[in-house]
Amino acid sequence: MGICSHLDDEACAARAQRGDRAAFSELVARFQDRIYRFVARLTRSPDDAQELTQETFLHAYQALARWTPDARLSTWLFRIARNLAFDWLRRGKRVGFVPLDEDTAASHPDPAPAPDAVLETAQRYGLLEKALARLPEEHREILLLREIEEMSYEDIAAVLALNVGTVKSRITRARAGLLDKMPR
Amino acid sequence: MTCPRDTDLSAYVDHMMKPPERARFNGHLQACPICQQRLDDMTALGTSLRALPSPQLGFDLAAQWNDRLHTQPLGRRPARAGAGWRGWMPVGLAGLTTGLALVSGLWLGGLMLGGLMLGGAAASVSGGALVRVFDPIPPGGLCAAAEICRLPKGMP
Repeated sequence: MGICSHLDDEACAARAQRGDRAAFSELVARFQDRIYRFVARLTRSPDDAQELTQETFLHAYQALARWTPDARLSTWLFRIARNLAFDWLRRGKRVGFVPLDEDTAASHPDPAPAPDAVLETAQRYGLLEKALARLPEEHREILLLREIEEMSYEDIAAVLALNVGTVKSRITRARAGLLDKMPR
Repeated sequence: MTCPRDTDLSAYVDHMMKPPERARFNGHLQACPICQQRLDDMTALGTSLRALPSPQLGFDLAAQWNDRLHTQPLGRRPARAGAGWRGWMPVGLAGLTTGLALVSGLWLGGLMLGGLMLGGAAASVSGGALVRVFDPIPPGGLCAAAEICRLPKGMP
């Protein structure tokens, strides 16, 4: 049981700001998987995503004094992660690209005959991952935040430093783009 | 009502429409199979994305963070790409180790050369001692034969 497991994220962050290191560890535990999956899908490089996830928390720890409770901690962390991931993408660090769960059924063939439904699901996931990977980064990130992280338009606007109207129109374009890339 | 734009469909999926607008939109959907199909596609897309297997970090970063916080202060970036949390190198410690190795090397060298490399004064004082370092009998050692150990005149 964490030292502030009974507290919400912002209260826990406030304790961390007062120097409670265990409180910050608790926040890392809460967000590490969410930040990782977001960065991994954004960069499409699982190894670099691991490092970027660590850097996200390091940056957050170093900047903790500047965090104010009027910003939700989750949006603040995602914003740090997103900025680090985009810096990485801009630097063109695409060497050693590893497709993320690409065509799971083909890359890990099961010697036993798979039930049709399982195979079909794996293929559908594979196609969706491929289509998602082919989206422009700006569309991919906004869909990840909306559909997978289930953030509100306001939170997405805070993470991406956009206004809500732009978020609304960009989500629409991202959805349309992904639907176009999915096989009929 | 003419068919709504994609923006409105997307907002409908996200429950971002105001109630009167949503009610009007519902009425249109009842009568328009094209919009209904587009809406179904968007809804299914969201469902599929949420159902995707989630990539896993693969290790407990919080536990590593906790260990690190209790052993040393934070503030360094990873030493190299791919090194990860375990690859973080405390630069101060590395510098201190290198410095100590350098100083001990100089000290040992100075000991061997009797300080010749370090300055003229030291060299003049320890000139005799330098010879004795290479004597057949080390200082304080027992002499096997008197003729070997007899000191020449003028030696200290």
